[in-house]
Amino acid sequence: MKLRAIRLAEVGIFRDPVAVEDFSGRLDVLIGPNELGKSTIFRALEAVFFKKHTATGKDVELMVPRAGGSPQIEAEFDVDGVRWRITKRFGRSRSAELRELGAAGAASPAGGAGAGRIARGADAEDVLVELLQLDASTSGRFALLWVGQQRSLDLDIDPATGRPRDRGERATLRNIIEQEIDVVAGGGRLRGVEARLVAELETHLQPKKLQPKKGSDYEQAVTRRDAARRELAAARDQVAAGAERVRRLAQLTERHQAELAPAILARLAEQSRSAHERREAAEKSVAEGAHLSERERAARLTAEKAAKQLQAFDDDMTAAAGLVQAEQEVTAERQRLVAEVEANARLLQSATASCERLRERERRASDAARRAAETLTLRQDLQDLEEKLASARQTTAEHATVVADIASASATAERLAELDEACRSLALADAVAAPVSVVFDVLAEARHRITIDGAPASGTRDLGAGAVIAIDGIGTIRLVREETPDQARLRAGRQSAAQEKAKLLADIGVATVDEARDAGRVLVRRQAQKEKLEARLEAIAPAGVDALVHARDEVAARLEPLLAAEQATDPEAGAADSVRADDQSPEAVRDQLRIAEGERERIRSEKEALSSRLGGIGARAEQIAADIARLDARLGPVAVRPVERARLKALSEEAAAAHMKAIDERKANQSSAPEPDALAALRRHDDETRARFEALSKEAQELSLAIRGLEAEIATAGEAEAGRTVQRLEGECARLDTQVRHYELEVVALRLLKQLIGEAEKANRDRFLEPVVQRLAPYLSEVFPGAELRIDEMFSITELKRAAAGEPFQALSDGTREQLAILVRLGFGRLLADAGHPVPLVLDDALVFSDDDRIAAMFKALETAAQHHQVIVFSCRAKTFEALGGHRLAISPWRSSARVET
Amino acid sequence: MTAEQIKNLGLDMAAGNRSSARGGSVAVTFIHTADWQIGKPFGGFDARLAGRLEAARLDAIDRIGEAARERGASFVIVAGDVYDSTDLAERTLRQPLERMRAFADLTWFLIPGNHDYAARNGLWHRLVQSVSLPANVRALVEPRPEPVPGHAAVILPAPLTARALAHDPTAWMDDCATDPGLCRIGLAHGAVHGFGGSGETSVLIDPGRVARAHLEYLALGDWHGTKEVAPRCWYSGTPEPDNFAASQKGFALAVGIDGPGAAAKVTPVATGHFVWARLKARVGSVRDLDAVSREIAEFTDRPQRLLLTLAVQGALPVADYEAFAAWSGDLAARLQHAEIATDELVIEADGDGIAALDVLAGAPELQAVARRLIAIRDGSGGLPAADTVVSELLALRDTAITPEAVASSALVKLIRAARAEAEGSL
Repeated sequence: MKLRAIRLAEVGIFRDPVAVEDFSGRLDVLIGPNELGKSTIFRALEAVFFKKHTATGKDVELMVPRAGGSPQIEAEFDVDGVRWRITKRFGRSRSAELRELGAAGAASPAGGAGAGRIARGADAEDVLVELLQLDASTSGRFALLWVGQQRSLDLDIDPATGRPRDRGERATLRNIIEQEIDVVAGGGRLRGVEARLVAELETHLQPKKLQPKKGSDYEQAVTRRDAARRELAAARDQVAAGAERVRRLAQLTERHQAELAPAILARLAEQSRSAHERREAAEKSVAEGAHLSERERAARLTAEKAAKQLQAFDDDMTAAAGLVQAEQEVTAERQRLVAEVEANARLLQSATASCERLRERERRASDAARRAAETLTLRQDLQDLEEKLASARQTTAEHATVVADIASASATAERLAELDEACRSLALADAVAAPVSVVFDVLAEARHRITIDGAPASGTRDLGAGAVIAIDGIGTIRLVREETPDQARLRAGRQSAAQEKAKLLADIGVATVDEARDAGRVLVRRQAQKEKLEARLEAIAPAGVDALVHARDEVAARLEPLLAAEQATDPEAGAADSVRADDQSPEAVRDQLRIAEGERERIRSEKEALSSRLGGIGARAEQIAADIARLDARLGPVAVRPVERARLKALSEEAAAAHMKAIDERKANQSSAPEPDALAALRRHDDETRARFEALSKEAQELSLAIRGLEAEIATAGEAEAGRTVQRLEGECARLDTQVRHYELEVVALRLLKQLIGEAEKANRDRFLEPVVQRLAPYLSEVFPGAELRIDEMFSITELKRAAAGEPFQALSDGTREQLAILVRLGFGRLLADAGHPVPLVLDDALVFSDDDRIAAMFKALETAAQHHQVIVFSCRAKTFEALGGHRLAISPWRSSARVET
Repeated sequence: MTAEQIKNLGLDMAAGNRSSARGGSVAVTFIHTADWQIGKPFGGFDARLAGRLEAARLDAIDRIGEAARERGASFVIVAGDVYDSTDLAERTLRQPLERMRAFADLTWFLIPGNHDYAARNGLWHRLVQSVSLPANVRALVEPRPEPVPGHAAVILPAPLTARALAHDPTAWMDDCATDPGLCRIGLAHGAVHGFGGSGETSVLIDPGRVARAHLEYLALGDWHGTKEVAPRCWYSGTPEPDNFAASQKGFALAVGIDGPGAAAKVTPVATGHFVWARLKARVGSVRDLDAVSREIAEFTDRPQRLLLTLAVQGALPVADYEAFAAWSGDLAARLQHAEIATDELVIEADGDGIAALDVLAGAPELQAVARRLIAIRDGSGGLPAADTVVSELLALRDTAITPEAVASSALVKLIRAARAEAEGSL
């Protein structure tokens, strides 16, 4: 289809009729300022082709000019080489007319009467739809390419939902594409089959889940199957319980008959009674035996008591006799002991006297020995002191001599020191006033010609106070000493020192210094001797000689009385003391004393033993007397004693007889009464028999009750038909299992199919978009060299791939997005043209965001596209669009006579 | 059992009418039946059909009673398993009694079998003690001779007291002396040496008992088919079949004995309402289904009484499968019950077959999907990536669904959906 002319009257801003008439059918461009009416023309194009003239509503109202009127639109177009004119009037005076104008390319029939068919009203609409191959309700492929202001970014976005609004564009594209690729593909049948399978699957499964859909046959089968399984399990339990009840009933009945029958219970009762009787008899016999034992014990005690009494009486009698004899023996012993005590007392007295004597002698011997020792010591001390005194006296005399020698010596140390000083001073003065020497070294042949002070001159000669040297044949040489003040002072000093020296030598009494020194050495030796003597005296008599004298006198005074006493006692001792004559040393006397004291001690201890024995005899005698008195008190007078004994004997014999009798009686009972073990056994047997009888009676009662209960339970359970239920449910479970399996197989098969079809579809989709991508490619490379464009199955652009990097469409700039959207439309336009259904691409104020380079490239693309189908561009930007080639359109007044006059 | 097979039994269906002597006559005519199994639940069927099957078993009693009257028999002996189990509700117990009571001119002798054995305090105890039997019904729960009123005959019953017995319950008959003028009729329930080894009970009966115990006839129960196991020794079979096991129809036996020592004349009398049939059919194309239809028709001329389990084997070209599916649907609707197993039916489909299918013509994607399914089914193509979905689902369930079965089913669905799509878009 190619648009050739458009004419408007009473449409929007066009109060006066206008026309745009010279469309080239290729690239047609209408440039004009804002509010020129370009968008009005665009909307008029949409209205005349796609709106029924009978249409009402907002779109139609928008076309009516503000001053009112009935919008009239006329368009001329070529389809398959034939030109047509469609004229529509909207609103109150609505009308439509489609007129065939003849072969396209003929002279414009505008204004002229049509040569071909004419259709009016609804017929005109129908023929138009057929001509343009429109879907009755949509603008179809035209919507793809007729891009209104600001509608270029997507096919058409519904502002209310934000989703693309489909006016049939996608279906149109699909149809076109499918027509093209149908040659090799199955087209929409795959989707159709898939839709059917999905619908079938949805009858079984919840959407997007593997769970059976609520209320589906599948779910019902699963539910019924699960319920049947639960019921079956319960019924099986019931059957098992029933079987258990029957088994238990048989068991209980058997036991009841075997162990708890009435006859068995009666026999048990009889056994119990008999056991009890036997037990009672035995217990009675045992009680009697206990009584007899007690009696026997009492009799035995009585007999034993009587025998004891008799025995005690006899014992007392024997004891009394023994005591009398003992009394006599004690008396004799006592007398013997008294005699022994007296003899001992005498011996003790003698021994004590002997001891006293020896003790006196020992004291005297000790005193004599002590005095002799003291005398000896004092004598020795006296001798020592005398010797020391003599030595001290000699030393003192020697010392006095040495001291006198020292005192008389003149060469004292001080004088010698002064002499040394004088010598030193003299020597010093000599040194200062050294004499000048003349040394003669004269040839031997001339030696006799030279003299000094008249003497031949040779060697060294001291000049002294001067000299005269005479040389034979020559004359004399006088040598004179002239004295300086210093030399005078020195000479005076030397003279003083020499005087002092001479004086000192005189004082010492010697002629020379050496002699003086010898005298000094003698004095030093005397001094050393004196010190030695002083040291010796100090050793002999540190406290002085007088102290020694005093000490010697003191010792002599102490010795004197001793010597006197010695001399006084000696003659007496020799005569009076016999012991001394028998070599009586103090030690020997002490030995004798020890022996004598031992003897005395022995005699004294003997005395004590005798006293003790005597005391013991006395006590014994008292004890015997007391015992005799006690027995006499017990036994009574001797005369009645035989009578008493006879009585006691009779009593004892009587009690013994009674005891024997009791023993016999007990033994008689013992032979008939049961042993404790036997009695215990009888009791146990009785208890057990009774317990068993009672337990079994109780058990029999309980068992009867249990049997009746079980019988009732079994009867009730029978009514429940558990066995039959199990059988039924087993069948039901099997049947429902089969059913569920059937649905499961259905579901799995459908899912498998869906999956496989999905995979096939995906493969198809890639192939499906291929025709669009292919047509788009040349345009795209013109504007975006080397780029690729991704389009989804809704024909929306998803991604631009440049330099191997993909950018989401929505992230691109407005300009780029608009350019891409137009390029895609060029692709669509080319596809439609290639399919034999060319549609003009109409752009109203597009490319508003493009920069200079891009817009130039876009213009080129538009020019290329115009070679395949018509491209109509409306723009307000005259300068920018100057570069766009193609044919320029102009708006002119509509002067056609065909215009319907209002 | 087909009608043909019944004919081959070689029995004279009219013979029963000859010995119709009654009351005191030396000749004895009676009906031998067994295995009524009243109260048997049919859980494997939906409740509606199960109810019908249960009712048919009760109705069989009426048909037996009518057959007895028609053949001049005045008593009926039931050789055990009157009831299906021992724990039935009282209503179930009473139902057959009421049916028998309605035939007041007939005496019914019943013995317990292995299904309804006479345990202590069990079902028969309840029957005799609580329910109170109709006057014309005798429960023979003790092994002792029971005279038949008005006939020169005595029944020697072998009631079972347990589900399994170690001894032959008919042994006592050897030593049981009866009036020599009376026909001795043994009545027992159990398997027989050399036959019926697969019978239900663990009770073994010696068929030599007939001779040793001088029986004129030994009526046996337990085997659900009608069978003469030895001279004078018969299984009557169940009057109303209850499973597909042997494809038997229901019968009772009319027995005529002219007097002590005389041979028994035995005539099967058809009493069954429903026909249970099992059939295996091999098909190679849709044309073979006609033969299968004819074979099914031979079971009965009343398809609404037929319960059929049909195993279809062989291979059908994929193009024929839909015709087969339609045929199956028709069959299921026509019969009382049909179970059609196609586990062993292969849908023959290869690349050529798929390409030749008109419904997939011009749709190469669908053909590719079909080919993948065939590969999975044949185990030759390996599982597709899609199998993760399938195996997940399979893992969730404890079923015997195999990938091959899934692929087969999916293939059929694909073709059906493609056809629907093609027809819908026309």
